[in-house]
Amino acid sequence: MAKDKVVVSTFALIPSLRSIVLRGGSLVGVIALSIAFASLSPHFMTLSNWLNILRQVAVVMILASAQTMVIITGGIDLSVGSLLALGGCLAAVAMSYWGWGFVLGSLLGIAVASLAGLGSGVVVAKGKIPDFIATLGMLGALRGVSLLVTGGLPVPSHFTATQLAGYLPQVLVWLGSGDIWLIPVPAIIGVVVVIITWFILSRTVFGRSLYAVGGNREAARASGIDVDRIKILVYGLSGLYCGIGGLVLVGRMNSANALMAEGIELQTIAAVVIGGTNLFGGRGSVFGTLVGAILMGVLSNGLNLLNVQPFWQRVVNGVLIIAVVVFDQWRRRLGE
Amino acid sequence: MDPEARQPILSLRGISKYFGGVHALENVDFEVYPQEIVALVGDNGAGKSTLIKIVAGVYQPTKGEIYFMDRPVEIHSPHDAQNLGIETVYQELALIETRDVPANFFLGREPVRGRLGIFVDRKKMVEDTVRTLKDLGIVLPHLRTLVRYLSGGQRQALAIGRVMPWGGKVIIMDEPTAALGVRESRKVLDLILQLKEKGCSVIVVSHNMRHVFNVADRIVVLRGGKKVGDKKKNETTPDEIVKLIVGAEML
Repeated sequence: MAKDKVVVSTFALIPSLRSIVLRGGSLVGVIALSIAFASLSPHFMTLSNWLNILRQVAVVMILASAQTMVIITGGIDLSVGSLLALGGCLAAVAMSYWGWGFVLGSLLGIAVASLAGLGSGVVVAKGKIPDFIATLGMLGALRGVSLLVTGGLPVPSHFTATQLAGYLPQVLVWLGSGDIWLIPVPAIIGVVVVIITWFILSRTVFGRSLYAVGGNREAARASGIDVDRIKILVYGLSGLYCGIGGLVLVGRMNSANALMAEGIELQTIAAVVIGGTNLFGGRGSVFGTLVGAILMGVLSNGLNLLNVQPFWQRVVNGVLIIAVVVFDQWRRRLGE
Repeated sequence: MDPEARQPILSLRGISKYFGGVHALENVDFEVYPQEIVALVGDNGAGKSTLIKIVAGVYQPTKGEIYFMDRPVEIHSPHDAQNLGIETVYQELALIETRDVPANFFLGREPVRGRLGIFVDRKKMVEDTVRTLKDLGIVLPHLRTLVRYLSGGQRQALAIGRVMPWGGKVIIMDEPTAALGVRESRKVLDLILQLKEKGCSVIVVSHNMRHVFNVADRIVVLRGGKKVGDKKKNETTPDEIVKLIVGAEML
């Protein structure tokens, strides 16, 4: 029996070593990029710049955590940006126009985003619609709803900002742009979300079901896992995360608008893939995604510091996604 | 002790199954006794799969009754079957290739701890997996290996081993040696014999006469949805069984 124990603990060490190697690629990328930018710009390796990077990647971190869970089930959520806008806009409207206050307004935004996410899940699971199509539809539809809710104007807008109830609560602004001992609050929220996600994925029955559904749907079903329920829940959870991300982003900008975070779905997918999660489901880790998000943040920050046109940054981000998937395929072929 | 002297643990009486106009099974009686290995043989389309799927709860019979430990039962789902103590090792294995051994071992029934009942007890998972594999003498590279990197025989051993801790009394195996080499088949057959020693009854569907005669206590032959043979192994020969499978009039 004592011998078994030793064996068990040896086994427990192996995955962390291997996953470090697996995730090494993106970590090495972050370090190499940092060295390159540090040698090209004197402003890069400063504390204030790094705090800036953390502040900038916080929202992507939160959304990419949700995306990690969805992709592990073999799905994909293209509607994360629209869910974020919907939650953020509704919360901002409720807080600044309806006088709901921070707590109720936040709950409203998060709840509606979660319900919309559950809606995608129901369409995917019960309607037997490919994840890609269902969430692409949601991407368009929810943007429209956000535009309707805000009338296409920023919230609060200059028309109403003079009224007493026309401002966003200070707590919300603090969530997006405050600091605790130098550390940006949004970055703290982002890291907490990542840790909670890790906990869900590795320590709960639900998290294990996510891997099972993505790894082999038929086997999951044969083992008594309710595949439809898992699918619906993971999209609902994605909506919840996006609602939280919406609050953070609105707080950071001190304003909400229906078109905010457009195209962020590509960044979240890039962060997930850079982090080593299998795009086809069944494998992945949210810590990899965290590194992926930071890599993207470092890249865009560095390019900014070097005065590269923002237009080029879009090109670079796009090419990066393709390069990473190619690298990932190559790595997988080596692995087998 | 002679198995015939005991009550059957599982008894199917007058089972028929129609899919539209197709009579997949016609008035079949089928018994399994405690600690007995029953081989179910027959040509393609003879009704073997239909019969085991009825026992496993995947299909409901059109006619007929099922008795489990002398009580009439209805098996509406795989879950009902599991609750009775009927476990199935599927031909297509039902393993998750991208997960490690304990994750597959406890797939869909992870032990939980804490009051919320949502947190996985990983220590128990690893310990139980180690214990069961050791009990069965199954050797795997190590527990954290992804199932993807296991050989066909190792996968089959895992798929069989994981039904053990659930107190299964009847274990159904669909072509357990179909995709395996000689040595790996041997191991799986040993596992089946071990299950019997541990008190399980096993229903094995197989096309391989040598494997059937290696492990089975009794051989049931289906042809065209009817039972055409039910022989104790010591009272028959592979030749006779093959004749029953293809139909004696052809020879």
